[in-house]
Amino acid sequence: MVGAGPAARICAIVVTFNRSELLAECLTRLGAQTRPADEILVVDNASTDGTAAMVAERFPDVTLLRLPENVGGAGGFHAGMRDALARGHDWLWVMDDDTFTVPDTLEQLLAGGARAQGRAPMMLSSQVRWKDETLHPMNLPSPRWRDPEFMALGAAEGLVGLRNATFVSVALHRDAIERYGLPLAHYFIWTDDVELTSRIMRTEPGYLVPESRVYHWTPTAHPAAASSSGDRFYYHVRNSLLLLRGTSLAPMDRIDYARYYVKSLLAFLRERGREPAALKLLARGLRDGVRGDVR
Amino acid sequence: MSGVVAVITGAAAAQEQACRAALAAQEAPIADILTGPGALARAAASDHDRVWVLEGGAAPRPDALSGLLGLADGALRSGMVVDPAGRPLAFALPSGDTFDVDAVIALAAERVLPIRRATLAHTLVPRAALREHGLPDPRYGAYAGDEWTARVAASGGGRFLPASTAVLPAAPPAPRAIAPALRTARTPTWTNGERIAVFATLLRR
Repeated sequence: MVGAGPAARICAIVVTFNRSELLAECLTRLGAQTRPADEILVVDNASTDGTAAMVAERFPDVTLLRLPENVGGAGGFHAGMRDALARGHDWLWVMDDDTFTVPDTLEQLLAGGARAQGRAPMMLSSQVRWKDETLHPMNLPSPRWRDPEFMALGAAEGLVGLRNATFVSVALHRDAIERYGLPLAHYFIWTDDVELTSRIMRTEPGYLVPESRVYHWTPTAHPAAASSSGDRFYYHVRNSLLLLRGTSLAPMDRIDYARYYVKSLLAFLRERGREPAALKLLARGLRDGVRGDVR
Repeated sequence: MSGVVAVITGAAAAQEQACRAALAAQEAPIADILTGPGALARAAASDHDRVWVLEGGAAPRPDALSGLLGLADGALRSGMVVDPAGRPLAFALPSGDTFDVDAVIALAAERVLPIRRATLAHTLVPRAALREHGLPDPRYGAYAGDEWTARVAASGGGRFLPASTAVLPAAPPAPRAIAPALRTARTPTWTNGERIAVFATLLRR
């Protein structure tokens, strides 16, 4: 296995959909890394805002994978990781198009991975901040408290042991994907990152590297489940049930996730429980999640 | 008087000897060493600033105390207890489960973990904590240290420094009594997640 040392080949994978301005900033910052990625791959979810032309014109060194239709973040990361693996990269550094790195984000991420003791880490994550420097509530790290030895040994090396992470500056080792599989494309959006990283880290080590930082440039700083506009909450409801029914979560993590899930549904009901359309959306998500209907 | 008083708990004569030898080699000065029944109570009644509680037979490395003293904050300061091969002994690992992830990240960069409680195997506390919280409550049996340190950490913060290590030849036998575990889990410093974990552990046993 190629670790996080200088010989590692890194592919930065950015999934985008109709946000060319944010993507341009994301790519500009990726191009200014002190330890540049060996390849930057943009997965374009069939954007209609000129994203493909913008990338070709302003970032000619960037590889563009243009998908024929919008398959969501999950489908985009699935396609991008498969593509990067086929080209022999050791680490897949994944992020949304509103992820803004700082110059040493990747250098620090790899340095953190290199100092990990024991089994080689399969996942390395940056700390994710919002515009005001607070931790982004959508990407709060999930320390692996249930394994105090892992946490203690990680802390000895200045690392935070994790049980999952979100796709905002997360590097996944190719061995992890080859062993545990790609993201589940049928999730379409939301929870696909928690599902994949939980699947890997049920048995493999993964860390947050405190010195590696990024900004998640969302308009507001909100937790994922609180972003209940439109149909998006449907995917949270459905995919979380799929996750709870699957095998990716360890038993105690499943209990924790179930508690979080119930809380998020109650918060949604408090906010929008009087809207018939919102209730319908919730019911549809629950129905499809219970049935496992993911068409 | 001031400085640190070391308290060696539950040690047989040979174990106490090993512990004393390690204490004599500490980089940081130790004002007094107390052992035997009531040692913690005598430490509480002393004039020393801090009390360093050690499991009998634990041999702290020379920089163990100076490491704990050098931490910037934390009323509860705990180090790592390892076996002779350097592997952490599970019984003495602290509990984190803090919801302050910002603190977890900031302290990780300093090789420190914020904790909610620890055992009394290799732990430094201000003597004032013994006045404020009293001695560990025997009703909690083998978990009395956990319950007591949880109260200390709740009021003054808790820190775990893995680089501060003490070598213990073998972990003490795991506690078997269920009632003290349940009683401890019901105390207000335990989170619901921790309670669930306690119940799961008891069920597994």
